[in-house]
Amino acid sequence: MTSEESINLLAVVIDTNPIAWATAAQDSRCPLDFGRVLEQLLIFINAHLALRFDNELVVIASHTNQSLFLYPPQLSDTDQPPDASSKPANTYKQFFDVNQAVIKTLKDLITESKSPEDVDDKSMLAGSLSLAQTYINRIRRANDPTPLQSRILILSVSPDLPSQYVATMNCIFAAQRVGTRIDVCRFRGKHYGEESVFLPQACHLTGGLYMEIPEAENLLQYLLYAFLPDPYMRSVLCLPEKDQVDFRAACFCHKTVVDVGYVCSVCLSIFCSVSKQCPTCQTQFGGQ
Amino acid sequence: MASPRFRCPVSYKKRNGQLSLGAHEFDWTLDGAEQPELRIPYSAVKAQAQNKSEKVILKVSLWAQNGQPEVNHNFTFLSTNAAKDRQKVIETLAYHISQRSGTGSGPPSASGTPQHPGAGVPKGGTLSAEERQIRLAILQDNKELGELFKTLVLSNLISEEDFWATRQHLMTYQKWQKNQKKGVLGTIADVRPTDSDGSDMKFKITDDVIASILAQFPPVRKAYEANVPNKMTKETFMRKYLESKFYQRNRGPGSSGSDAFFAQYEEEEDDDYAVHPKRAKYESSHLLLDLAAQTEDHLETGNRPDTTMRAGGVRSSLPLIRQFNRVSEGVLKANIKPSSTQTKEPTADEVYLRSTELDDLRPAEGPIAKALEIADATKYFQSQVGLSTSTPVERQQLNASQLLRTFSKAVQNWEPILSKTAVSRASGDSILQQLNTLTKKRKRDYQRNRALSSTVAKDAMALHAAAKELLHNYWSAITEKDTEKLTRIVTVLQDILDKARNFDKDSRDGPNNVSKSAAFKAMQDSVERAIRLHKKRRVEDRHRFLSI
Repeated sequence: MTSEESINLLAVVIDTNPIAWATAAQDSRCPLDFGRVLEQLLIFINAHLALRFDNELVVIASHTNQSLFLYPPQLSDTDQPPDASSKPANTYKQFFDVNQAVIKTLKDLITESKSPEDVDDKSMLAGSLSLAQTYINRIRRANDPTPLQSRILILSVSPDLPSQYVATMNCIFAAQRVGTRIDVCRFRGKHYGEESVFLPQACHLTGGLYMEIPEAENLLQYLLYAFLPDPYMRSVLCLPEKDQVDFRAACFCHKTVVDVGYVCSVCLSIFCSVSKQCPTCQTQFGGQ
Repeated sequence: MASPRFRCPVSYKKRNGQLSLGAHEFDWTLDGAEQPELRIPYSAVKAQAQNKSEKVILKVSLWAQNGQPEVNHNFTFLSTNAAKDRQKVIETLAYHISQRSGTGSGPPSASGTPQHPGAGVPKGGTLSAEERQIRLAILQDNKELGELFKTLVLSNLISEEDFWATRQHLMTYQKWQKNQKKGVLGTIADVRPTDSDGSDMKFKITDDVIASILAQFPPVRKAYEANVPNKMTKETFMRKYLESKFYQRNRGPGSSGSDAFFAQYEEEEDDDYAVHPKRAKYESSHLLLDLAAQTEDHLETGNRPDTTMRAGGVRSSLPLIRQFNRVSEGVLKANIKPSSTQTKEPTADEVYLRSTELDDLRPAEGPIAKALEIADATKYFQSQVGLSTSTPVERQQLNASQLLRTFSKAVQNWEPILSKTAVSRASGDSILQQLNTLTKKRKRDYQRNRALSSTVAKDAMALHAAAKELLHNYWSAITEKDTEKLTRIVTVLQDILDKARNFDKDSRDGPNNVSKSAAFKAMQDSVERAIRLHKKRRVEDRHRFLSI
């Protein structure tokens, strides 16, 4: 599969959890400015589109209770078509379209959020990943004879959701199966963006890149350096990566990392000490 | 000469002549010539070989002399008892070859290095030709062993006896393999014409091919057994076979062959109502008894199957009827579209099962899956998350609604002008530096994991093998009183030790500076120990010598 023939599809999943971003913005040491981050992301997206004429793009927002396509915009009947006349003369049309669509939809999404009781501090990561992969599948079928090389870039600042563990892992395995690389850009600070467990595993399993950004001011440099090359070039380039992925198991009762432990044969939960009954699934450990 | 010379008609280089065996040489004379054209002393003969086909050929190879390549002579035996003649010549030559190798000296060393390491001459005792051949075969098969042999034995570091003393198992295995009788080749031979030019096709048929053809087609086998070798030769038979449908069938449709010859062997006795049918088809339904049958059902027939309607009563019309049936079956099949659900013949098990199993009696099966009752689902998955050993983030307790409000206001007021977006140069550069260092580290890790290049690895392995062999010999010779031998071994060991130490300097493998001599550490330790022990003994001996 030469690089000339295949189409590159970049799927960007933006974590738009307002509470996480707001908390990060209030951070004393290194505040995150959502606007700045998005600007740099848009420049990166433009760069991706500029690389080749047939590069594809999809942008998905992972909100607290829904996942939404930011680009390509989904026009409902009531919306007016985008205003073509407002385009400045010396702007490339495709860039302009993308920028406008993303900004507009994102603004609508965040400002329409209702009262704080409905909004939780979480982000629908698994849903967005599924959405991205189904879109990738659709584009792959639409271009059927031409091979498609796809990758997903996740910008994340929210903590991991334990209830979404199974769903997230399933998405990761599906991506691994298809060959879609998942890259993660995680914003890390003193009071936000704690270490995630799913995301480094996602990168490791699919062959993607996991980067922790200490300062969001210079996000563009990181994006252009590490995340711009398409999958074909990745095999030739050597990119900076996190060495160790933490695969260690933690016991279910104390949440401490264990090296040697006991495993329930029914629900596969790990414990550090023997007991007559599994606390998770209540199977009796009988025996001689 | 006490006994008359043995003579036999032999053709050499396509000319007929006589081969005669003398006391010290054998020669070949062209028919009608006075002097022998070819005179070969027994001492010059290195080996002989015979072929297995119809022609009785003996190949005699001579030692390579004075830089010339090895000379081979091929003799074809022509007499009626060609095989016996050849056997006699072989025995004589073999006797002389073994005689010569047992007592005489080896080939002149000026002949240059032989192609494979020739089995050297043992110091004492004779070595039968067979054993020599075995050793030669082992060395040829196992390239590494051959190399080791060359470096160690041919440079007289270790005597050949010692070398083979530890490798008895190899010799027994090889001997066993040689003597193993191999059966007929079992592959199904695909007969194809060689050099087919137009209508004239040549086929190469060996015994193996014939055997496989006979195994494939029983009628052909019957015909073969009946005809060959009495009524027709193998060749004629094979010709008939190739013209027949058996061969033509494989080649593809449309080519009909003459089947008359094989037809007579093909027909089977087909009598459907014979008392003991030849191939009794197993009808599973026969074993099922109809328990509801009454006496009245059995009045006419008893227990026999109904035989009032016997088809094929007139034997002579059977082939015609069969042909008719076959054709009509074909016509029907071609015209009726086969149903999508192909009804297969039910197997015997299925037939019995259907008759004997009653649905009412089958126990109700419970559901297979058991629901996993996890008491507290969130706790179950929570252990996967929150593993961070790093300092946990201190969530500042801020007012959620206030946060939300400020955030959405900020987003609403955000009007990006992308052309004005800038990244500060200095911080951008510093990030670039960081990423570059990370990348360099990654690249170094890649290269470190790369395997050593093949030549370097080979050299290292060869060195290691030599050291192992020498150590083996040293420790087994330690009980002997042959100090000279031990000293010799130790000097070579020292040499190897130095080579191992300098291994790095000789072969630089790019920026991969992982010290290769570290790989030899274990070997170095053992070599050093042997050397140390030897030195200590030398000192002790000297003391003992002096104190006497």
